[in-house]
Amino acid sequence: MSFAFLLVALVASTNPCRVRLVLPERRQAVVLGALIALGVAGGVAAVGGAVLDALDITPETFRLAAAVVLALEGARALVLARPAREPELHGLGAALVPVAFPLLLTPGVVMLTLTAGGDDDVALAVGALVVAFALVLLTTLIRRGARADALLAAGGRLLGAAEIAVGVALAVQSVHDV
Amino acid sequence: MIYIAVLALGALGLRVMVVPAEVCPAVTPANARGAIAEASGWLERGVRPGGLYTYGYNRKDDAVSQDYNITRHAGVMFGLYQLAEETGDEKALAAAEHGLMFVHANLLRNGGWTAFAEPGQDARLGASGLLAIALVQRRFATGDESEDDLIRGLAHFLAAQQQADGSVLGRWSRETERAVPDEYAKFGTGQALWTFALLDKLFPGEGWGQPARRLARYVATRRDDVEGYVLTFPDHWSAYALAELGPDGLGEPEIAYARELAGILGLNSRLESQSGQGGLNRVFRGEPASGAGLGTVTEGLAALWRLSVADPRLADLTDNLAARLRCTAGRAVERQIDPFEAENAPRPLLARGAWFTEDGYTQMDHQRHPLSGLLATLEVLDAESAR
Repeated sequence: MSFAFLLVALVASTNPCRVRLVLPERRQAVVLGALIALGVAGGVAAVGGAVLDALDITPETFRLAAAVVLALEGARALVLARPAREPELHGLGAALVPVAFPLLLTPGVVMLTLTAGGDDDVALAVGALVVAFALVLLTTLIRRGARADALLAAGGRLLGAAEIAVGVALAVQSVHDV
Repeated sequence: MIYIAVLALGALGLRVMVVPAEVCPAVTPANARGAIAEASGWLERGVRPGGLYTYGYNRKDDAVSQDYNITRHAGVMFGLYQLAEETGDEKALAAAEHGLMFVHANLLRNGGWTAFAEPGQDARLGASGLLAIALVQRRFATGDESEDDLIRGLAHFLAAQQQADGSVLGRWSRETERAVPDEYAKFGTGQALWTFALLDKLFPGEGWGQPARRLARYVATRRDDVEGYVLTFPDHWSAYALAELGPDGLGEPEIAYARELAGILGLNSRLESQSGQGGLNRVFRGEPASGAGLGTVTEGLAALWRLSVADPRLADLTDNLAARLRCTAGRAVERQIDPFEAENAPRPLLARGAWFTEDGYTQMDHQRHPLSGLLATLEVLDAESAR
């Protein structure tokens, strides 16, 4: 997978616009949560090849599973533009729940990083994740309000549609790959 | 907690429905050779009067099929000649030569061409194409030139079926004495392409290169649309033809097509490796491929592997093609009925060396395709062990 594809896929799966609607307002927790998520996702990518080997799945076939997850996740974002607020741990614990999990380490992000790991594209995946999570951090600069929330919801829907497209592209790739 | 439970259930659903394990039994030169010997044994034991071979057998009903198919007859000859050429197997050669008697009794001559067709039947592209391929293989195995005129006659029939856009029509009607318009042969097109490619090398200077190139371009760029395939048609015969044409005979459209063909054959291999004869894999992946299905995928992957080794434009596919080939070949070896399993069949000699479908049926091409596929796999296994 190319860096550009991974970037689009991971940004769409992270969906900064949609996530912003339920992010805790404590920026410190968001930054820490992004770092935790980056570490975990990087670790998942690093062991991706070994995980797929253990599951007896070729990377080409696993792309199909990733495609299904991305398409479902994208459909959810398209239909439910405003996610429900997640329960939060107190203080900096919010970095762990809900920022790192479940907001940033989405099923799509995990599947994409596993796929990238299976293709030996760990560095590309980590690079793309850095950009995707940085975009999430940037959204914390947006001051919430009725108008901003409406725009964020629209952006979330758009990224949901993009995630579906990425899923379809990945499925097609899985069919074409040997 | 609910969130984690939903994720766990989702992961389980994915595992069961989308990505069950791909099971690839080990294939070695020794067990591949053993399977080849058993498959050829089934075909050789099937020699019947009149130049025929045993067509099919249902072990559940203990019934020998009374059907026959001349294209598959030619296929059996092709496989046996291939084995004779590769290994010098005299029994295989004798069994293949036996089929010539039926061939010479079923030839239709018209003008400058000859077709392989039973009396009263229309001439079909696939039967003549595959017979021409089998006879070229005979030439390689024996060096005997006595069938050269027949090879040329068959190829002239294929050329007479070719249209201006390079496509070849699938049938010639005895009634109208013309090619039937808009009717294509599923596998006949690829067989015609390989015939032209083979003849261009066997008889250089006779002009077989031009129909080969025209047909190759049609197959690469228009066939799927014209003949109504949504995905690339997994045509192992075209794979053989592309490998025969080689790097010098292939333009960029043909190389792009070779990639697509490798993709669809690879997908078939991966899906097949996820299938099982029971349990959830049976539910979500359907019946495992027949012997013919396993064999055609193996033949196609092996041909494209040879091409990828010869042509740097496809070199990035070599390792994956070899991996898929080993997997499908391993599954073919594992699913063949060995002599011990055959003892439980009503007629052990009709079961031994065969590949049966779930309903207990096997027919000549269920043995012939894996035979050719495993023969081709040996080249890959040898190349890998030499690394």
